[in-house]
Amino acid sequence: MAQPAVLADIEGPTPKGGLSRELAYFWYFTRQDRLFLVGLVIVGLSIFLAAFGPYIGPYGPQEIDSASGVALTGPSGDHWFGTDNVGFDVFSRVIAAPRIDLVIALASTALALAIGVPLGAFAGHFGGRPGIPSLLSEALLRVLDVLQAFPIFILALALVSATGASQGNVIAALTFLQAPVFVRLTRGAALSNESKLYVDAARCSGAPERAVAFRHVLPNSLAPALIASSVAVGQAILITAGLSFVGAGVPIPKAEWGLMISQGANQMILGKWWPSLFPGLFLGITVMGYALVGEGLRKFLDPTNRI
Amino acid sequence: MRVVLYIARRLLFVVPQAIGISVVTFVLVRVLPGDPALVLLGTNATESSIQAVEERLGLDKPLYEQYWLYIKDVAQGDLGTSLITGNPVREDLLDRLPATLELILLGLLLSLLIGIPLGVITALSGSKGWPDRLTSPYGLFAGSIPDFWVGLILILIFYRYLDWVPAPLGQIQIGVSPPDKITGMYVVDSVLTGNWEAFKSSGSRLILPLATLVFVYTAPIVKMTRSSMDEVLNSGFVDHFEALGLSRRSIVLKALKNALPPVVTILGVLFGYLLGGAVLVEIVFSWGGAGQYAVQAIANADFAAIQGFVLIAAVFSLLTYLVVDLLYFALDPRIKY
Amino acid sequence: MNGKPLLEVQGLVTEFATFDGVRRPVDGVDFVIQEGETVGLVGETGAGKTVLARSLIKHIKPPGQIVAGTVLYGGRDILQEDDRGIRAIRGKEIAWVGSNPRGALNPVQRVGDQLADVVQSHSSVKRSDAIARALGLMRMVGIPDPLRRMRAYPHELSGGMAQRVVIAMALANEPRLLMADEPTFGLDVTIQIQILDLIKDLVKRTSAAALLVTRDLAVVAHYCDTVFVMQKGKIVEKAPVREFFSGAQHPHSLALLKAAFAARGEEVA
Repeated sequence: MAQPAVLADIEGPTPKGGLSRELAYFWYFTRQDRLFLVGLVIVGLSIFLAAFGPYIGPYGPQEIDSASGVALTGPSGDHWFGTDNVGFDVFSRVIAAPRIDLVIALASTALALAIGVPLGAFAGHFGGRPGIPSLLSEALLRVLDVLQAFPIFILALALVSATGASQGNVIAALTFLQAPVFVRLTRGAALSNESKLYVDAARCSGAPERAVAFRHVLPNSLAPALIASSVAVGQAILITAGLSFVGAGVPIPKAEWGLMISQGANQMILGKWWPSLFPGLFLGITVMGYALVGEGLRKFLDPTNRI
Repeated sequence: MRVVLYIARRLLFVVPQAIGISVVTFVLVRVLPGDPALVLLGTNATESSIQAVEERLGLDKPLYEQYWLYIKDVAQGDLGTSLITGNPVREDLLDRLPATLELILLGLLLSLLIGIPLGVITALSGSKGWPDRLTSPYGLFAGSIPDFWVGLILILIFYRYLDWVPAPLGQIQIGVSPPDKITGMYVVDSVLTGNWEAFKSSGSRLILPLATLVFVYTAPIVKMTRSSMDEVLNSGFVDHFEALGLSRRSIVLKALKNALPPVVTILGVLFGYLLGGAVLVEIVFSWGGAGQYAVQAIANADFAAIQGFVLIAAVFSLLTYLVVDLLYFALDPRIKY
Repeated sequence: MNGKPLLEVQGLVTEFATFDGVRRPVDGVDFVIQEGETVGLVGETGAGKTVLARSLIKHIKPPGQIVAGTVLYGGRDILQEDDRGIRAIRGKEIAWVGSNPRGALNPVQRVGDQLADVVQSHSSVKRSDAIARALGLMRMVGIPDPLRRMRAYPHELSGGMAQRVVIAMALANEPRLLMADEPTFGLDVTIQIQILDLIKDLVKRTSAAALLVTRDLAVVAHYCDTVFVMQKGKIVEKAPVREFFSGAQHPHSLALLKAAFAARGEEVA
């Protein structure tokens, strides 16, 4: 039902225009969508901890306090989240971990976007036309098809083992694994925009091909990748944790959530739950925050939600 | 007839993909660190013994020749010999795959049986109904936490505190002999052979890892069913049938068929992911499946074993996507062959 | 037309809440449709015609809301009916034909099955009887080779053919009032005439009333008994079709007429 169109000519309050309208709508939207607000707060906090987390804890992330640093003591006034099997303070390590987890996740997602979006736009723009660029984009897609068939976690594991367990290599592996998603999303959006009437109209009115590509197709093809990037950040955190859990991610004794869960895993059976429980909880909340922001952005950017 | 043509055309796509997979698998293993000759011989290897082993493994030949040898072997079903277990990789995988498949297949089946009704109910009651108040936070939470952590928490609650299930140490209690092998899946085989002792032991050990997978992977199914159903319920034909006074029930049943294809897709994606991703849950429960085997192989630079596992997993997901496409074809008459 | 009122609308208001405030596509509308009468509802795009027509069968979804008025049908107020009551009216008493026939059909179900579903929705007949009735309906709306077309999927039909199926659905349960919202939108001119002739013919045969939503005054002149002119949520003029074309009163009616005749190169008297 074309209800918005029906509304178009009816007199009502005069719409505000330009940037101030966008901001007003953002404010309206944020107040209306509480979950988006929660997501924004979590994302903000996670970035704050990535910057300052290692310095603001009651202990250092790899410090054994001479007085109270006994291994595997439960939560107490001295150690809010208890101590782990080495005697490190779990709370200090949990809030220091974003320094590693978030840097990996944000860096790999940013790199994957930087690689995937242009490739996707290229493939979408040239796909289905005669010429070498079209063949190239076709070849690119076939390669992605093949990569898609591999179990992503095992591939990540193999890539990191091939290059050695380190933060930089985890970033490289995740970039490699996430870029195809952005290629596909951007290509799909570009392809569907290429067939839209307004692009035809731009061509027919004599706009140069470059202007069509950069002014009309590309800006309208970015949204899917941008929305997906917040999910990708969450995925990257989860895969990083998984890699560390099997001992192929960040080396011991760094403060990283997956590694901390793994270190505490054997204590679970014995009922010592604090070394694993808290890092998992913080990891979950962080990933959730990024998911909420992604969902909120999707709704915010969807013009059909604005009625 | 239409179906046959479609399958034939779709199978044509599989061939280049399979070749691509074999190339990637081959290259992947070549770039892994660690010298297999050294792994075999240990630290007291001499220059000449290393050379002898390299010759035996064909590592001294040029790459393309090594690839050709590899393809010939694979075509004959020979995946090489594991450096660590000393068994043919094919045997190792055949021993361990059923354990992984039992976990994944049962897990996804249960997730589907729970997830689709939940998704439909949530879509029907709208964004302000009570099902949404339940499924949205659940989906958000389950989609954000690592599955291995869920496994650990379940162990803490149901083994350590409540003591409802046995210790998370493998598929069957030591001392209970596994059922006669039919599928290799302990629970399935013990039912098939009527071996109730084995069923009790393996079944009780399957509960927690299964619950872990179901808890985490029902979430994406609920989410996809819900959004797909939402879209169909907002489409023109539902609006039209509502305007003609069709009953809610008949409209929903119709919409469900329209809403299924994306759910099939997410199911395929989850299966492909879990083939490798279930390794984390396997480790938590000492499951001894194919995933755990692969992790061990990677840690020990066991070339043939890694290659074998990755190849098999990739082929499995290739077949999964094939099945997904065929289901799409069955569900949507608009797809041309 | 025998002058007995079929549908009486009073003070109908439908609102939509938007970010820019509340809008009223239907802003206080009163009218009566007599039994067997064919009414043309005309007005510009955005005048509120579609929302008005949907409001009559309480088919308004959030953020839209019917906030005031009554729609009396057979002594009952449709707007007061619950879900069950409204379902008994929709399709059975008042039927709907939309402007996008292919979007109105389920893409993954055979046309014949959908038609049979509609038959069964308001009468408890066996499936085989419903299928037989569906076949009869396909024949009635002039679909050639109906037996084969029953097994077709919507995407295999042309727009005109799909609209015939939609009309068959609307008439499946012999409604007393047929509402058609720009039923020829997007169809070829020759097909448009066929579809309108079909509607007129079927309405006459079942002595049902019709509400034809359109922007085309030529259609009104040809097919309607009465004209309602709508502007900005209000009905500004109601007149029998002859009187309307010879002496419309409201400035907006005159503007519409002038535009229509200007398009044909004629002058308004």
